[in-house]
Formats: sequence, C-alpha cells, structure tokens
Amino acid sequence: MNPIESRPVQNAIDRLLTCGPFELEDKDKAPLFGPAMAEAFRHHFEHNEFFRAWCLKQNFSPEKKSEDPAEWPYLPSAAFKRRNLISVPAGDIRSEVRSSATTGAPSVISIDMMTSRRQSLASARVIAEYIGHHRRPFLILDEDPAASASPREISARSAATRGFLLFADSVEYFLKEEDGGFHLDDEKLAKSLAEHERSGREVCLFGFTYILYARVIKRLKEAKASFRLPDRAKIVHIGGWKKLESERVTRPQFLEDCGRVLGLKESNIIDFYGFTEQMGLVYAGSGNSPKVVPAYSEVVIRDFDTLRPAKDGQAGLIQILTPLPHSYPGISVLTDDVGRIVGRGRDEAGRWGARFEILGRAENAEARGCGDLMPEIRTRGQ
Amino acid sequence: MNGPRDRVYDILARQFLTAKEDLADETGPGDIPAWNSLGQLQIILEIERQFNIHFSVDDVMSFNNIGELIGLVEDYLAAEGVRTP
Repeated sequence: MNPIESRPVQNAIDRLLTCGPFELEDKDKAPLFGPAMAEAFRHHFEHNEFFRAWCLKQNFSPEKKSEDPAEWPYLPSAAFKRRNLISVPAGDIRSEVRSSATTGAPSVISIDMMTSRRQSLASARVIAEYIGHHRRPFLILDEDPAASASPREISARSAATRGFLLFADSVEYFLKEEDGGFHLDDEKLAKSLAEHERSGREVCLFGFTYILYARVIKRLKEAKASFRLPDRAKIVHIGGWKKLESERVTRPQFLEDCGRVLGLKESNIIDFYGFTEQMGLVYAGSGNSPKVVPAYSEVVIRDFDTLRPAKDGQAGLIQILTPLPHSYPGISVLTDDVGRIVGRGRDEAGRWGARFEILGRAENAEARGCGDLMPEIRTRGQ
Repeated sequence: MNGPRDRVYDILARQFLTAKEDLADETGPGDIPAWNSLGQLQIILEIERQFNIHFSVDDVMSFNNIGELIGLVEDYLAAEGVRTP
C-alpha cells in the first residue's frame, strides 16, 4: 500500500501526490496542481525571508495566486549557490545536497523529512513508470557511496543515484578509487554482465551518460565485445550530454552503440533528467522519446532575451515549478538548461503531460536569468 | 533463538553503529542520520538475507519506523507459516 494513501489526506500537496504521475489530463491536473502550488508558495513566503523579499520585489504575494504557472515568480538556480536557503527551523534539516559545481560555487539544498518523503515518493512513481514496479539487480557505474559518504552531506551525484536504489535488490559498484582518480573496474563489470546474460535476470545498468558511453560502451565496441542481456534489462543513464557532444557522439549513435553492445532495444535505454535544486523530481525518456512532465510539476520555457513564456517548439530557458520542496524554496526555479516543448496531451505510451527536450546548457544564463536583481534582494532580505 | 523483533533490532544496531537500547519502535529515518536511502537499502538487503524473504518496492516505501518494519517482517513470516514469539 502506498504510504501516502494509507493515512488521511491532509493538504493539497499530499492530495496531488496521491495521483499517478501520468494519469492526469490538463483539465484534471490544474485543480490539483494550482492549490498545491499556492500552499507551497504560502509556506515559503511565510517562513523564508529571502523568498518573501524576492516575491514582493516581483509584486507577488500568495493572495495573488494565478491559474497560469507561467505567472508565478521563479528563483534563478543561481540563488541556491549564493546562500543556503531554508524555510524550516535549522534543527529539522537532516541532510544537505551539494551540486557538483562544474562552474562557480555549488548549490546547497537542505532537506528535511517532509521534503525527503515527498521527493522519494514522486521520484519512485516516475521511475516505476519507466523501468517497472519491481526490484532487480543494479550494476552502478559509480563508486560505492558507503565507502566515503557522510550521512549528512551528500553530493548531488550520489543523491541522484540513491533515488534509484529503491528498485534494487542487489547492488554492485564498478568505479574504484586509484591514484587519486576513479577508474572503471572493467574486469568486474565484464564478469557481472556475463553472469546476468546467463542468469536471464532483469538487470539494470545505471550510470552517468558520459561514463557509461566513454568508459563502457565505447571500449566494448572497440574491443568488438558484446553481450545479450535479458529482454527486459534496462540501461538507465543520467547527466548531461555536453561532454559527449564535444566528442561528436550524437544521441542516435549513443543509442545504437548501447543497444548493439548490450543487446537491448532502444526503448529499454532510458535517459533521466533532473537537477539539484529540485532533487527527487525526475523526467524520463525512453530511447529517443522526449521527457514527459509528471503531475507533480510543470515546465515553462522562457525566451532567452525577454524571459517571457516561449511558444511551444521555441527553445528557451527551462523553468520548473513543483510544490514538493518544503525545507527550501525550490518550488519555482529557472534553470541554466535550454529546452523546448515538443508536445502536449497523451503520448504514444499513454502518458499524459507536456513533453519537452533538453537542448543543452545556456551560456551566461545566470546574468540573463534575473541575476541582475539578486544584489538588491540580498541587501533587503536575509 | 531470538525472535524477529530482536533480530531486526540487531540488524539496525549493527547497520547504524548504535546500541540497541538507543533504538525504539518509534525510531525512524529522521532520528538516525545514516538512515537515508542508502542505509535503508542496506537494512532491507540484510533483513531479506536473514529471513529469506523478498520485499516489494511498495514494502520498502511503506514503513516509517522500526515498529512498522518489524510488523512488515512478521507479516511476511506469518504468510509463510513461520510462528513468531
């Protein structure tokens, strides 16, 4: 039984979370999503001085709620790099997630039990829709987090991986620390893939897109090695494409090579997108399919220059709204990522929700995305 | 031989490097920093190994504290006809 459904529904956010991720048409989603967002805005407005100042600066207060998600104010993701924003008493925080900070300072997100519970539930629901509702062996192309992790401070990379562990009934890790860097244990991985090929068990190979391709698929391809994993085995990969693109590896090439080397259909190769400021919300696409927005969030694409909502099909900065974060005000965030809406309604797999593509990262997004307003808010806010 | 309650407490105390006396049926993930999703997986795998049972994804998400976890284990054992003290 679902833990949320097993007790009385107490608020609009919990009510939204009782829904499956892709079962709501727009007309059914709006009456649930709007009140949940209003509830989340009210909470952060009342309990986070910085967020309140930010909303007031944009002439917005919880009473001015709108049916249109594009009219709700948003924080640029850079806001989370400048300070640790929390909307609950410090004693309620149980962990901090830090982004990898490829450029500049890392984002820091403070998580309390309520946020953790909501995000775990939302991500589990979306993941289950794509990989199935059962547990299976996970082969993880990363280091064993138990070796080094502090229970309180978690890297975004580790946090992203952990969301999938719910679906594991055994876990093997294949990156090892050596000479100050991480190296893939090729021998161990080849042995494990061969074992799963023989066993017929539905395995999931999980890794960051670049590591998966450059360190595993490409090497196996060059060695003319291949496996035939069971029919329903999956590859789940997360993380950006920038590094692969710089090596001129296209998505079709990636899918073809992964499929050929591991004996999988493209539809069993699933790309998950998410970002630190809304950890737990994941957007998935099988093969070459676009990502589908679940019931728990909304995506708005904003024009690069005007920051006004872009038309469907037009590329712009990705803004994501979700009522799930309770301990920090990450409920409406303008990301540094570029994307476009490519469809709405029901997709071929029967999932309801807007469909979008991620096209890469914006250059100087922070400066364009309201960064110019931040200093003024800082002097007035926290 | 200890019953499932004692054995679950032993597993949790070992996993979270804490004394059994510091744990209670009401103790949950919010009370122990190491009881995160990784810690959760480790205790689940150890319980499955020791009791020879297999939880579903919903099971893994369904308990909020040690008492509920023990109840889950006892339900599985009862379904298999194992008497619990």
